[in-house]
Amino acid sequence: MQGYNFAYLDEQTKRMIRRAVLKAVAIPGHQVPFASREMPLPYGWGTGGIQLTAALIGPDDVLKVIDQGADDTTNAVSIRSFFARVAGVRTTTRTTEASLIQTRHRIPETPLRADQIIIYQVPMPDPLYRLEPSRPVARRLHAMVDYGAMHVKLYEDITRFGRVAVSYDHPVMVNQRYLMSPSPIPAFDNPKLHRSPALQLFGAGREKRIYAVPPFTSVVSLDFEDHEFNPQRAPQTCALCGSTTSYLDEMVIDDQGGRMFACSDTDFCEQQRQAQHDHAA
Amino acid sequence: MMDVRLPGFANNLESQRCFRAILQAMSHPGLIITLDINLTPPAPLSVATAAALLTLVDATVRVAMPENTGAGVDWLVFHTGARIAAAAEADFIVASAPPSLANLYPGTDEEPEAGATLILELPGFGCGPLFRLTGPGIESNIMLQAPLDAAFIADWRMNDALAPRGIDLLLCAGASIVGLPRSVTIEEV
Repeated sequence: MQGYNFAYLDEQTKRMIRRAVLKAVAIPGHQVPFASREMPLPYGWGTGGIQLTAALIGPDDVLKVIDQGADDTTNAVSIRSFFARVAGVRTTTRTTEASLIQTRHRIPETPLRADQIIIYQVPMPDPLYRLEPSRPVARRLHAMVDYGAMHVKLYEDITRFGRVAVSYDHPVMVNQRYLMSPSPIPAFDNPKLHRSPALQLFGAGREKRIYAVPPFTSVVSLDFEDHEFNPQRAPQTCALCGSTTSYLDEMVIDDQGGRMFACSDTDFCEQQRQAQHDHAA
Repeated sequence: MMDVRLPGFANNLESQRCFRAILQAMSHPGLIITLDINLTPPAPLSVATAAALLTLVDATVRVAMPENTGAGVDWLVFHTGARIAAAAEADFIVASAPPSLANLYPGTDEEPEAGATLILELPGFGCGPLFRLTGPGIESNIMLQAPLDAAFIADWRMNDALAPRGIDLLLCAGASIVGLPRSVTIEEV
C-alpha cells in the first residue's frame, strides 16, 4: 500500500513496542507500560492488539482475527482487512492455518501450537482496578505480591452468592508471581492459558500496557481449597454441529422467546460440521 | 571502506524478521536460533549482535559497549542514533567477557521492565560446559552447551534472587542467538 509504512506503524513505534514485548516475555504476567499510539479506530476496539500485531507481523505470516470466537463479526472482519491492506499478508479463518491470531475475548477451541502466537485485545489490564483505583498503589501491590484484596473479593462472592460470581476475566496467577487479567475471556477458557505451547501476548491500547505469558508457563485461576475454580458452560449442545464440549453462545431467534445455542468459535463449529459431512458422504 | 559506513539493514522487513527471531529466542530460552540475515558488521561485532542492535536500538535507548571504543560504536551511533552510556546506566550492554551482573541496572520491584539487556558475544555454541535450563518458555528442561564460566553462573543465581528485577541475556555467536530471560534457571550438569 502506498503512503504507509509496512503494517501501518512507523519503525520507531514498532521498536518501542518490540522492546516492551521482550521485557513482558522476560517477566511473565507483569504489565509493561508502552507509548500507545492513536490508531485509525477508537480506543476500546482492539488498538492494543492491533499495535502488537503491527509490531510482530511479517509478509510470511498468516493472520486470523476473532471477536468473541467469531471470524465474521465487524471487529474481526475490519481488523483482518486492515492488515491485508497495510501489510499485504494472507489471512485465514482456520485456526490451524494461522501463524498469528488476534483475539477479542476468546481462545480458539482447537489447541494452539508452539509455532503460533496469540494476541489478546485487553480493555483493562490491571486485575486490581476495581479494588484499587490508584495506579501507583496497584503497582506497589503487584511489586509486593499483595493480592489479599482479590482473595477477599472472591471470598465475599462466596458468602453472598455461594460461589465465585466471576464468569469472565477470572483473575489468574502467572508463574506463581503476578496476578494477571486474562482479558474478558470466559472462565471456561482459563484452563487453556495454562502451559499453552503458544506464546500469548496481551495489549491494552487505551491503558497503554503490554504483558505476556511465555509458552509452557503456569497460569492458575484464583480459587480456594474448598471452593475450587469451576468454570461454567451452558449445558446445551450446539444446534449447528452438536458439540457438547465447546463454549456456546445463546441467541434469541424470534420474538416468541425462542433460543438457540451454538458454538462461539465459528471456525471450530464449521470444522465439526465439515467432518460430519465428510463422514456421511 | 571505513567501518562506520558499512550498511545497516536493507529494509524494514529485515528488522521485522530479526525481531521475530529474538522474540522466539526469548520465549523459548536455550533454543539456538540462526538469523536469516545478510549483514556485514564492523569488527569485532558478530552478525547476530549487530542485527539485534539494529533491531532494538534507537535514539531513545542507552547502549554501553565497554570493550568497544572504535568502529563498532561509531557504526551503531550512525545507524541508530543510540546514546552511548556507562554500563551501569545502559539499557543494552554489549560485551564479550561477561561483566558482573551486579553492576548492571536491574530495574525496581515496581518497574522491573527497566532492567538492562546484556548482549553477550560468545565464540560459539556447542562448546564449553553443558547446562540444564528450566523456567517459563521451556516445556520441562532444555540442554545448552555454551562457553560460560562458573563465576557467571554464580552471578546468574544472584540475578534469579532479584526476581522480578534482573538482567535479561541475549547470547550471540556468529549469526546465531540464544535468549536467556531473567526467569530462567541455569544449572551446570
